[in-house]
Amino acid sequence: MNKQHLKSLALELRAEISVDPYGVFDPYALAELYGVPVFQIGDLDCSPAARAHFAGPAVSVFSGALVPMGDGATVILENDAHAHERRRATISHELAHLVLEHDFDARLVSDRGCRVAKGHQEQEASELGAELLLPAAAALAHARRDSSNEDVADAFRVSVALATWRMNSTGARKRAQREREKRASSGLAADLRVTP
Amino acid sequence: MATTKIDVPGLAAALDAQRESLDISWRQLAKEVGVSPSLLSRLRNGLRPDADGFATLVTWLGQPAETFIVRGDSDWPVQEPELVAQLAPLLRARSDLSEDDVAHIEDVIQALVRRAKAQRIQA
Repeated sequence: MNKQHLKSLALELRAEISVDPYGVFDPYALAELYGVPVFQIGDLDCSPAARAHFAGPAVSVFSGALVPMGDGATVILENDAHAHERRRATISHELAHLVLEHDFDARLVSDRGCRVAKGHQEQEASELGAELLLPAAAALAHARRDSSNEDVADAFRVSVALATWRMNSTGARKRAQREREKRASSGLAADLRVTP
Repeated sequence: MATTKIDVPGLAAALDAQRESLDISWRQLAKEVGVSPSLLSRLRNGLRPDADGFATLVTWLGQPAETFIVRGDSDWPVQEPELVAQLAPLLRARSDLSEDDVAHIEDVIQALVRRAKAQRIQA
C-alpha cells in the first residue's frame, strides 16, 4: 500500500471514531471499536519478577505485543511502565498491523520496532501508525503556523521525537518554508511594481 | 427453556471462507457486504453483531439465519491457543534477547492468555 493509500486509510480510521484530521487520535477507542482488548503487564497475574523486569532493567525490551489467540481473535499487550505518549504510539502501531491484515505469528515490539515482522510490513505499519497519531494534513497546518515540535507533540499527545520526525518526514516543514519564501518573493515583486 | 445465541465463530468462519474465495481483505469484504470494518473485526474477536448487522451478514451469505443460531447453554468453542509453544522458538532465536528476557516474556504471555480467555468466557 503506498503512502497516499495509507494517508486515506488513516483518515478513514480516525473518522470511524469521530476524530477529524486535526483532532487527538485515541488508539484505545479504535481498539475498543474493533473489539480488540488491550491488556497491561501491570494488571496481569504474571510473576512479580517478570513485571519488575520489564518495568526496570529491560524496560526498552518490551513495548507491546499483538497476540493471536489461535482462533482468529487478537489481543494487544502493552508495557504500562512506558510514558503515556509512547504507549499511544505502540498501540497505534500494533493496530496498524491489525488493520493492514499483516500476517504474523505473534509480534513483539521493542525500541527497535517489531521483532517478528517482514520489512515492508513494518514500514507500512510505522507509516500508518504515525499517520493515525499525526496526519500529514495536520502536520502541514502546524508547519504553516510555524508551531514548534514541542507544541505539535503537546497538541497530538505524542513524543517530541515522533512530532519532529513527522514534521520532517511528511515534508510539512519544507513545504511551509517554500510557501513562505514564495509569498515573500511575490510580495517583493509587488513592492517593486508599485515603486515609482 | 434453553436460550439461543448467535454462533459467532461459525459466522466468522463462513465469512472467512467467502473472503478467501473472493481473494479480498476483511476491509474489502466489509465494503462488499455493506457493513463497517469494525463489525467484522469484532466478530473475529468473538463479539456478537447487533441485529441489523447479523441480518445483513446472513443475507449476504445467502444462508438462513438459523444456520448461525446455537443453544445458549452449549459450550463456547474457545480454541486452546498454544501461544507460548509457538513463541518460544521465535524468542529464543533472537540474539538481542537475553535468557532472562525470554523467560519473563513467556511468563507474561502465559498470564495474558489466562486473562484473555477468562475475559472472553465471561463475555
